This record gives sequence, structure tokens and C-alpha cells, in this order.
Amino acid sequence: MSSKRDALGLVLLGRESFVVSAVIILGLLLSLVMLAVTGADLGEAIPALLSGAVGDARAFEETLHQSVPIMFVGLGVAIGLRAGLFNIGGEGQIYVAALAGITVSQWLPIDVPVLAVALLLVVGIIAGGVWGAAAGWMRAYMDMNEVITTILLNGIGFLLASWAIHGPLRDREGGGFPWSEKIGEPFRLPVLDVGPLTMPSGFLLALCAAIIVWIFLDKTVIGVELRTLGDNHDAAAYAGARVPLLVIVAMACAGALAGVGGVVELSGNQERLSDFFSPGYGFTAIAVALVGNARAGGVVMAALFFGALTAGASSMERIAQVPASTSLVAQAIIVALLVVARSERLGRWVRARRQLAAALDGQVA
Amino acid sequence: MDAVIELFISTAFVASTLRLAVPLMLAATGEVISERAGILNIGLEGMMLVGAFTAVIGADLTGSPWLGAIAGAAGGAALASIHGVIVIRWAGDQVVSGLALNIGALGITTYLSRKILGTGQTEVAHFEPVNIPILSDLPFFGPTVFGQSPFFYFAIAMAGLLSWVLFRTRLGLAWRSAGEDPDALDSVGVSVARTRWTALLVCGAMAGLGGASISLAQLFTFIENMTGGSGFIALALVIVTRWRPLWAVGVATFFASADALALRIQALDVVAIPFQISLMIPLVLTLIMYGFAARAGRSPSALGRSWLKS
Repeated sequence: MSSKRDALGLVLLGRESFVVSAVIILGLLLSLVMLAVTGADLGEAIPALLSGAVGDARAFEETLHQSVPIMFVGLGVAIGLRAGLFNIGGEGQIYVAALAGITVSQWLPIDVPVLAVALLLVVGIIAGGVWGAAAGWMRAYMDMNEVITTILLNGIGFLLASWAIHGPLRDREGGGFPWSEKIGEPFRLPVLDVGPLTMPSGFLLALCAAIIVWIFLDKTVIGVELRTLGDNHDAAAYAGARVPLLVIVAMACAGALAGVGGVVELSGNQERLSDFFSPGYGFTAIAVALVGNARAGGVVMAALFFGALTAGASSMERIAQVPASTSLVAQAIIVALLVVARSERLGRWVRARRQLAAALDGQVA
Repeated sequence: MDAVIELFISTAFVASTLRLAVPLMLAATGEVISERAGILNIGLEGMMLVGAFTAVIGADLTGSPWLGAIAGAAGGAALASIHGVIVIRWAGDQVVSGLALNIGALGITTYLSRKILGTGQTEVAHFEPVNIPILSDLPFFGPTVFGQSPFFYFAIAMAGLLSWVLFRTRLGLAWRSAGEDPDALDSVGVSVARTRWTALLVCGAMAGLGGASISLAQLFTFIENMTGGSGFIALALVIVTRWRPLWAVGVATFFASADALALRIQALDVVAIPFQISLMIPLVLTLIMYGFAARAGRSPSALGRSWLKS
């Protein structure tokens, strides 16, 4: 009996989707416990959270809006992770791309919407890609850890954007707020009607990006080389892969995806660049990539989940006066639990139990 | 030319350099110890933030800045112990655990400060500068250098003490072995886990004090995300110190002087550099210093690698 129950447990622990779901549920429960302990009224908070995330068409649209940037950036982080690199530079890449985007939209006020949006996407890819590639280059040729360099580049990228919106790009009729003018009409991404619901078109672009990333990682030579690099750095070098180039390509891709996330957020949601353009999308995206197990499909699901959580948390703040920063705590708990779930000790324990179960089965037979 | 001299050689410049250096010194010294023992602590920023918060709560409750500082150290160490459970006990990924702690620290301090302190800013019992007798009467920079907050003297003393412990004592030898060759340490019968725990807790307490030095000796209150990336800077500076505690004092002071320069440029209005651009100077400088250090130095061999007894 007990060996059967054990066997079921072991099979489930081996399944990524089960582990992730269990971690998410446990993480949410722990966050609710924290809320209850600190005196929040859960009877008011939970309905507010749910209604803000999926309650009606507007909530649904807000959830999608929130998931778009973290889906793009998360896909980039996932590419890095598969290559054994950690892109913590999403924040900086978002800011430089959005800055480049708004600047170009003012230089080249194209009137054809499709062309304008295409130009914006290309600019985002280039700006974010350059910002990511810089960290890749420092890793490849200067032996500088990308975790540290991307963090420093975040600061520099943010300050560049901040300088622009306090200076040359400042909206003079902006009511005194330090932000840019709204991006030109043709550059904006519309919100689409889908039956009774509405959907930001940026969400469709993010899904396309996910499909491209999936094909790139699983079906192209360079994608396979990147994964080899992530699995075993020395083996990749031995097999003749140009490791420095691969490192730069991986970081450039990560930056480019974050850059697209930045310009899509600009044109499809906020429409202006400001000092609080990214409330930590670059960091949430890391949680997204980890929960999505660095796979395109997983990233899409995880981005939707964290988008819903963010949307729900801000409605919780409005309706139940529970600070929205609780969603950060939930994020942290989920990621921390996930680290434990994927830790060496737990892996070793599962393997040992599996061997034991197999040996017992052998005896019975 | 006079303006340039005024920029560097003034008591105001030296004063703000030292003031800005203190939190970095404390956090970087702690991180040196932790990394020497093989534990990468990306959560340094979060530990500073939690330390800044618990210090304010402690000072508010007890009315004593000293007890507040102890609460700050305890807060940093408490967050470090979560890192310890994840990366030492469970051998989980050190980078991801640290990132989670940073996000969590931002969330929980923002949440609790609104719950406990409200949105208004409450000024709490804080530290005044302490003048060292005789030395603070020295001409020129005497009153500045020897008239700092207690955190300044403590930071320098701790860097000296931890340098001595690291290089001259059995505990220090164990720390360095845990970071270079944990198998060897284990084979002579010393617990790698326990050794790494002590180093990590020292790091957490130092980071917590670093945060407390911002909240109790600079701003006298808690503000959301008030550490604003100091922990990340300290993390980069550790590589520049090449993992030597005493160097943390010099490197942090050098970085802080660039930061102070950025502020001075604004205050004096001698050169027309926008505020944000001058704030980039220290970041770019750190990147360059890191570039040189990365080629010259070698990190502890087992840094970032989890270790489990087989």
C-alpha cells in the first residue's frame, strides 16, 4: 500500500507541471496567511483580488495588459537561462528601448499605422538588443559576470531615460509631470474586440514572440547550440561552438525581447515614457521565466498568472485597502519555494526514494 | 580652476563622501565574508532594506538608536537565514534565491511600513555625529573625518576585525576553505554547512547595519525602497576588493567620492551636466573598475556552488 502511495508521489514530483502548480498554490496560501496575520480582512481581500484579475471584461483586459511586458521580457530571460546566462537587465533594456522608441517616433512621424508600428518594433529590438549584447560582450571577452553587469546597466539605462524625460523629451504641456508626450497616434497598438471581451493587440504580438522563441530554441541549429552551452560549457566549446559569439547572441536576444516588451508597453498601454514606466517588470520577468521552466509555453502561462496577480493586487488595494506590494511578497515566496523544489537535496531525495521503490517492486515480483 | 578645486577639496565634499561610503563599506565587508565562504548573496540589497526597516521599528519602539541598530542587524541576519535554509540546507540555486529575497524584501517592507508607520514620515530616535576627542580638533578635515556617525567608526573597525578573523584565525581558515575547497574542509571533520552559516549570518547582520546606517544616521525615517540599489553596488564593489575586507573601506570610499562628486556638481552648478547624467558617473566607474578587477582577480573556487555531504 504505502509503496504504491509513494510511487504516485514520486511520479508527481518528477512532473514539472505538478511541482509548479503545487508551489504556486502553496505560495498563494502562505501569502494569504501573511495577510491574515497582519490583520487584513480576507473576506474582502480575496473577492477583490479575483474580481480585479478576471472579474469582468475590463479586469480581463487589465490582466492581459499586465502580462504583455513580463511575457516578452520573460521569454528573453528564458533564452538566457537555456544558455546558462542570467539576464537581470530587463529593466534597463525596457527603458532604453522605450526611450529609443519614443525618440524615433518623434523624428519620423510616419502616418501609416502598420509601418509606424513595425518601425517601433525594429527600434525596440535594436535598442534592447544592443543593451543586452553589451552585457554579453563583457561576459564573453572581459570575464565579467552578467548578473552584476546587467544590474549596473539597469541603473545606467534608467538614468538615460530619466534624463530624456526631464530634459529634451519632456512634455511641456504635461501638467508639470516629468514625462514624455504621448506617442503619435499611428504608433499606437489598438485594443481588439474579441466577442464579449477586449484584448490588447500587444498580447497577440507576445504570443507570436513565444512561438518564434520556441522554434528558435528547439528547431534551429543556433538554438540547439545555445542549449548545449547551457548544459555544458566545456562540451560546447569542445564540439566547436564559438562560445563567445553564442554568449553575445543569447544576451542580445534576451535584450531584444525585453526591448520589444518596452516599446509594446509604450505603444499599447502607457503611451508615454515616465520615471515609473516599469514597476519592476524586469524582475517579475525573472519569476515568470523560472516558473515557466525557461520554456516558451511555460513562460506564456506564467506571465498570464503573474499578470493576473498584479492586476488583482491593485484592485485589492483599491477595494480592500490591502497594499498592492503583497503581490511582490507572493512572487518572492513562489520563487523561493520553486528554488527549494528544484534544489539538489530534494532531487537527491527523490532519486533515492525512486531507487528504493524500484528495488521493492523487484522483490515483490 | 578654482571651481574644480572647490569641487574636490572642501569639507562638504569629504563629508558627503564619507557619509555615502558607510552603508557600502558595511554591506561590502559582509559580502566579502559570505563569498569567501562560497555563498553568493545577491539578496544583499534586500537585507539592507529589511535592516533599514527593522532599525526604524526598533528605534521607534525603544526610543534608542542603539537598540534600533541592533534590530537592523537582526533584520538583515533574519533574511540571510532564509537564504541559508534555501541554499545551504536545501542546496538550492544561490542567484535565484537572492533575487527572490530582494523582491520579497521590497514587498514586505513596503507592506509593513504602510501598516505600521502609515504613509506619513515619522522621525525616529537617531544617531548624531560623534566627535572623537582631540582628533576632531585637527585642522582641515579633522572635524569632518572624526565627526561622523558611530556607523562610520564601526564600519572601519569591523573591516579590520573581519580581515583579522579571515586571514589569521581558525574560523577564517574554515571560511576560506568552505569557499575554495569544501570537500577538503569536510574531510578534516569541519562542518561545511555550519561554516557557511556563520559567514552568511555575519554578512546578513552587516548588510542590515548598512541599511540601518541609511535610515538611522542619514534620513531618520523609513522610506519605501530607501536603499535604492546600494546593495547591488556593494555586490559589484566586492569583486573590485578582490575579496579582502579591508579593501572594502577603500573601494567604498572611492565609489562614494564619485557619488559625492555627482551631487556636488549639481549643488555648485559649475558644469552644465544634467543630474541624471552625473548620477551615471559612479555606475560607469564601477563597471570600468569591475572590468579591470575581473581580469586581475580570481573569485573563490567554490563561489556559488552548493555543497551537500555525500
